[in-house]
Amino acid sequence: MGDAKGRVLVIDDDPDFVDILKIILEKDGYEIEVASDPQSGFQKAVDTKPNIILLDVMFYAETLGFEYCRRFKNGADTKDIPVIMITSVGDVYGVDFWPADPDMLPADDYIAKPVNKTDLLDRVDRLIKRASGEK
Amino acid sequence: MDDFPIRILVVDDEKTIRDGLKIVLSEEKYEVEGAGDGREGYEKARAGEFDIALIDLKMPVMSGMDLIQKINEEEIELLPVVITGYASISSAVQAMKAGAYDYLAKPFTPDEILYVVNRAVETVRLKRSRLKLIEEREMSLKDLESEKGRLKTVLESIGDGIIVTDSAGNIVLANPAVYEMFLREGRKDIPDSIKNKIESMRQRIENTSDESFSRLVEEVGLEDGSDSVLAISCSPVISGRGDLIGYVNSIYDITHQKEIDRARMNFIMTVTHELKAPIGAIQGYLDLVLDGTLDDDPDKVREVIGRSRNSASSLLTMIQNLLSAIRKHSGLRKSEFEQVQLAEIGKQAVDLLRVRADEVKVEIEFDAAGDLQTIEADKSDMNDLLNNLLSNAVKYNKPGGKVVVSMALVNDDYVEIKCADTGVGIPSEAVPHLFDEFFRVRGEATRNVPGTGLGLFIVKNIVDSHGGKIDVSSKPGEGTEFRVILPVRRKARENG
Repeated sequence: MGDAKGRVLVIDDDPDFVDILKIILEKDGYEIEVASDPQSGFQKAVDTKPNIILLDVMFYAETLGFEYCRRFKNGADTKDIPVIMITSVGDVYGVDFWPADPDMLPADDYIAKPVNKTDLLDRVDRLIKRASGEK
Repeated sequence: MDDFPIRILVVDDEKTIRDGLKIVLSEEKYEVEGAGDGREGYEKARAGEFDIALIDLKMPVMSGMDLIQKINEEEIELLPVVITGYASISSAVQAMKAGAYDYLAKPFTPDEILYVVNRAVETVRLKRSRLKLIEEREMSLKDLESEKGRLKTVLESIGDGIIVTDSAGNIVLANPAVYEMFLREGRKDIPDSIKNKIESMRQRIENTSDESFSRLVEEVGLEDGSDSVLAISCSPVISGRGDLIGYVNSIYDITHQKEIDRARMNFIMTVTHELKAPIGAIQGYLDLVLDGTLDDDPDKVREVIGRSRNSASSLLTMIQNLLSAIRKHSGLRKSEFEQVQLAEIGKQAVDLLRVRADEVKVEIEFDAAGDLQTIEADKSDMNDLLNNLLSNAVKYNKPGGKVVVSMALVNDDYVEIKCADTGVGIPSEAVPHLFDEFFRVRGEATRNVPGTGLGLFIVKNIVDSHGGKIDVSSKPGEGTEFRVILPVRRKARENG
């Protein structure tokens, strides 16, 4: 794992949001990789095996994030990597994406835009620890 | 009791008889008028509305007998009563045969004449009230007839489908709109989905304990692969005695309303999403500055504030564009077609962008074919079209890049506008969404480019409203080319 607390793969097409996540996570000691679309994000996850994936829901005005979350969870190389989905769609659709129904979506956790710093760090920390403990 | 007074015509050539009768009969509140001979009697009988005529048989010009015959022949509505000095059984019989109602021999006492007249008046009154009854009956029948006809006409001309069922749910009536709705396109019967829905609504109304229940409205799809959505409103029909005798279902197409609802929802969703993104960025950056995360990095603080500033201004442009798009959508500005010099507008658009292009070191090349004449279009639309295409080509370019704009006739009917750049290109995943409202290609390459996501949407709308076509080819990292085809003459079906 090197010096870093862990490697985080951020998959989001909003450069400002990615920048903010980067500042927060790097200051806390994480190493960050970025992909601006889910397809290259998937490839990056297979290649570099990050400790956790932060995945946006909306890409090109489509909720592609859900589909890719399932792909991560079904992929042989990626299924053990925790995935946190980041969304602001919940408010827009009026639908609750929080894990009330864990079968609905395979993500390990959810976080809303704009992110709360401590909340984000808590969740990332907890999931990375849980995943490494399971091994 | 009787609203109308009894009017009596006295036809006698003897003035004393006429005057005498007038006095006697006026006392009984009858209206009396005299005529001096048969001819005058006939004229008056025909013109005025008399109930009874007292007619002397022996008169100059036209005899009483002739008058009675004429009255009968012409079906003049009055009772002729004969008064004559030539009292004989034969003349009486003759007069009665000719149609006289009664007969009185001269000379007569006032009581005698009143007796005869009163009998006649009684008959007139009876006849009147019988006529009135018949008239009333005929009136109500006529009303009913026309009411039925009215209902039928109304039912047949209603645009909504009307299906009436009896209390057991059997369809007893369907108006032409129903057949139009369901039976064209080869359908042989009202679709089962509709029948089932009507039946389930009927059962629900039947089973409800609420007596005041008056209407149930539900939506149903046609289940034929189309997007058609119908609304069915089911109301029980209660007879005058309070019995439930059936149900009226009115069916109307709400597909269009549903589409509008969806579009509106989509609009609100995308606007919310697009407006939230820059605000979220500003908020996120400000949090980082406020919570001390960046305390040891003043350069980064400046950078994030700069980015926040960018987000704020792109938010502002977005709102401004949104307002102008709404203004256009809401029909506050209508397209006005005229002969437009496309090359002229292209040149102006290029000139307008030259300064900005110079700043980012992008070269613009403009080429309008010599044979390009005017086209029939909305001038301000053409301005918006070219400005949007060109400003995109400059905005999403690279330093040292190039924009090539060209316009030329394809044939006699169409003109082609091409706008090619050597910019960042468009990822293939983004191409299908390019002309969507508020869509923006997000990524490292476009992060600092302010935009609203309305430009190409407006371009597409303009092209559509002019009956043209637009397509795009792009290679990420190499450049993009937009191709617009517009008709030289306005197509007939476009109405502005």
